[in-house]
Amino acid sequence: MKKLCVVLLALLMVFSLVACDKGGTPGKKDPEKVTEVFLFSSIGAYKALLEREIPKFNEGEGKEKGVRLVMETNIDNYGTALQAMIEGGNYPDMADMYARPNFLAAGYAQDLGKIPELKDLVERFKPYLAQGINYQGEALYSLPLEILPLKMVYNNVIFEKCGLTEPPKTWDEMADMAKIITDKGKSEAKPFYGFGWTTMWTASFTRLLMEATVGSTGISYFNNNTGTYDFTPWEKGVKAIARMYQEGSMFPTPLDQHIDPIRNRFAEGLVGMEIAPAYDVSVYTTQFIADFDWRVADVPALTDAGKQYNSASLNRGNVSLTKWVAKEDMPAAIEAFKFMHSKELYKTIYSNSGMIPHEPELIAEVKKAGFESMAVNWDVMSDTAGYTLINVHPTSLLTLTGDGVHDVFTNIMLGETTWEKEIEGLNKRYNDAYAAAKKDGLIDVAIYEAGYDPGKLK
Amino acid sequence: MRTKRKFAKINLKLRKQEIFQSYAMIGLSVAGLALFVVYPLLWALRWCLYNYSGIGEPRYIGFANFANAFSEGGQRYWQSVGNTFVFAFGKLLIELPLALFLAYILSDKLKGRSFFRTIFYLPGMLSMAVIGIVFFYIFGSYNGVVNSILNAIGLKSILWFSEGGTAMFVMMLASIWQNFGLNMLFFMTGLQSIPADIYDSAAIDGASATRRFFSITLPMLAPVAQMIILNALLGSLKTAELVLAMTNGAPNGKTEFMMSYIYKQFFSSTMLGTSNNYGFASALVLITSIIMGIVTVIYLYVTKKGSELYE
Repeated sequence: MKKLCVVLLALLMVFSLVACDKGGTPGKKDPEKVTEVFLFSSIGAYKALLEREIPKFNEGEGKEKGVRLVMETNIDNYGTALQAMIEGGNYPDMADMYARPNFLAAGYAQDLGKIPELKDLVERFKPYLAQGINYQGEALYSLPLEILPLKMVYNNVIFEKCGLTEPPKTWDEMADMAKIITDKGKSEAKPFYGFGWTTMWTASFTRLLMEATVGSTGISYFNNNTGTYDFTPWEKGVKAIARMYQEGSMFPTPLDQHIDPIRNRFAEGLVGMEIAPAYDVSVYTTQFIADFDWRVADVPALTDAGKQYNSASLNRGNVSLTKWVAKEDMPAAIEAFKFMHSKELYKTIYSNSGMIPHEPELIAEVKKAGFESMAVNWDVMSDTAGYTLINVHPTSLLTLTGDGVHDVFTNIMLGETTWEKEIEGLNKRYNDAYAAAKKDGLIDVAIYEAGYDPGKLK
Repeated sequence: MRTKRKFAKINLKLRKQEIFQSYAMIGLSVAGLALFVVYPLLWALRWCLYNYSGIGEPRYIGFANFANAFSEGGQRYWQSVGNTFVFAFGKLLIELPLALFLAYILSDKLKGRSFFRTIFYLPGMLSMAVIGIVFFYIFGSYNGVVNSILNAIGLKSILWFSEGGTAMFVMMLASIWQNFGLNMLFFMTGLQSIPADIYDSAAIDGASATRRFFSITLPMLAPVAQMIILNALLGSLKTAELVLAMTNGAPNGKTEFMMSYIYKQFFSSTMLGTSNNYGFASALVLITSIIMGIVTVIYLYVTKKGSELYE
C-alpha cells in the first residue's frame, strides 16, 4: 500500500510538472505556423494600453503575418531581471536596452542600421536620432520612443486655502511656500503638508531634482563638452529640500514613503506640491485618482538667476532587437518590431495621454482627430515648447567607490552632513570613477564627449 | 564453527550494505551542498581578484578590491559590520532569555501548552522579507498602527525610521518576533533531555525552584545552548532581507548590515544606478566569511567548558 502511494505521488508530480509547460517556447513555430516574439518591457506608465493593443495586433495584422507578440513587464528591477534572464538562458527577442550602455557594449542588441527591412523605419525617425540614446557610436540600437517632460504638480485647493496664487518660481520659494502650506495644514482635521518627496526611490534626487532642473543649468550633472561630473549647480535645490525636511514641510517621512505612496498622498489631497514626470498624469487619473483641482507648472528655477529653458525632458528610446533572435524567426521579430514603432501605436498611446512622440505630425494628427482619452491636465503636461532634451551620461558604466549622489544628498537632507563638507569629495569620486572607466575602455568618448548642443524643443 | 563463520559473513554483508546506504543518503546532501553552496561560493570568490560588472569581460586587478575594502572605499562596509554586531547582540540579549523562559514554562504540564507552542512558532514560518514589510507598515510614520495608537492616547507620532536608534529597534523587534519561537522549541528539546531524577534529588535536598533552575537547568542545558546560541548568532549576522524590505540601510547607513551592503554591491545597477561591482562584492564576501569564522572560533573557545559537561 505504501509503495503504491509513493508511485502515485511520483506520477502526480511528473504530470503536474508537465502540465506547467506553457506549451512551447517563444520563437518556436506552433502547429498554426505562428512565431512567438518575446518582448521584455520596462514600461509601466502605459502598460495597460500596450496590453490592450498587443492582442489586437496578434488577432489582426500579426495573425496574417504569422506573428504573435508576447509581452512581459518588470518595472521595478528591470536591469537586474533582464540580466538574470540572460544569464539564465531565457533570452528575450526585444528588450529595453537604450538606457543600459553596458548591455549594448556587451553586444546584446542588434545594429538596426544593418537590417535592410528596417531601412524605411529608420529613415522615418532620422531627424530625431540622438547619440548615446539611439546610437552608440556608429551602431544604431534603438529608435525614438518619447519625449518625457519633467514638471511639477500642485494642489490648487490647498494653494487657495493658504492664500497662494501662483506656483513657486525658485526652489527657495518652493521651500517658503511648503512651510506656509504645512503650517496651515496643521490646523486641518487631516493635516496636509507642503511638499512630497521620497528617498526610498534611489533615483529621486537624480530624476526629480537634477534632471528636472536642467532647464536652469542648461546641462545635466555630466557635461559632454568637458567630460566631467559637476554637482555644484544643484546646491540651492539640495539645500531647499534639506530645509523642507528639517522644517517638517515634507510629508512624513521621505524615508518611509516610496514614490507610489507619496503620489497617493498627493492624490488624497495631503500634499501641496510634487515634482512629476509626464507619466504622472496617468497616475493621477487612473491609478491614484486626484479628484480635486490639481494643476501642472514648470519646475522652478534653481536660483534667482532664472532658467535657460522652460524646463527639461528626457529623451527615451524604444525597444531593441536582441542578438538572440534566431535567423528563422527574424522576419517575425521584424514585424513585431515594426508594430512597436508603428505610427498607429504611437498615436494611440499619445491619444490616450500615455506618451509624447517626437514626430510633430503625429501630435498634429491626434489633436486634429481628437484625443481618444484626454486625461486631466494632459494638454499642459504634454506641452514641451521651450524645453530642452537632457543629455546622456555614462553613470551606469561607472564603478563608484564610496557614497553616491543619492546617499550624499539624503544625508544632507537629514542634517547628518553639510553640502560644503561633501561636494568636493562627491565630484572627485564620480570623476575618478569616470577616469577609471575611460582607462578600462568602457567609455566611448565619441558618445560621451562629443559635445552637447541641447537646442530647444519647439 | 561453520555456522559462526556463516553468521560473520552475513553480518559483514549487512554491515557493508548499511555503510553503503548511509553514504548514499549522505551523498545526496553532499552533492546538493557542493552544487548549490560550494560551487556558487567558489564562482563568486574568483571574482574578488577582478573588476567585473557581470556584463562584458572581467579585468584582472589583483588585490585592489581588498585594498579598497580596507581604505576609504570600505568605510560604509565597516560601518555595516558594526551595525550588524549591534543588531545581533542587541536582539539576542532579549530573544534568547525570552525563548528560554517560555521553553521552561511550557515544559511543564500546562493546560494549552500545545496551543502556545504553535502560536509562538508560527512567525518562524514566515519569510523575513514579509515580516520586514509588515513591520514597516506597522511602524510607518503615516497611518502606521503604532503611531495611530499613540495618537489615539494623545501622544505624538514617532518617526521610527528617521533615526538610526528607533529604526534599529524596530528591526530588532521584527527579528525577535520571527525567531524566538524556533529558539524556544530548541530549548524545550534541550530541557527534555535533562534527567528528571536530578530535579527529584534536588527537591528532596530542599533546593528551591530558582536554585534548581540556576544550579541544574542552566548547567545541564549548556551543551545544547551552546549550539542554539551559535546558530542564532550566525543567523543574525547574516541578516539582509530585513534591511532591504524595511529601511534599505537608511538613515545614513545606520541600519545597513554586512549582507545587505554586499548585496547592493552585487546589484549596484539597480540599487545605486552605477555599474554592478561583482569584484568588490566578492572580496567583501570573503572578508565577511573570515569575520564570521573568527566569531565562531572565539565563541566556541569561550563556551568550551559548557560543551564538555557530559564528557
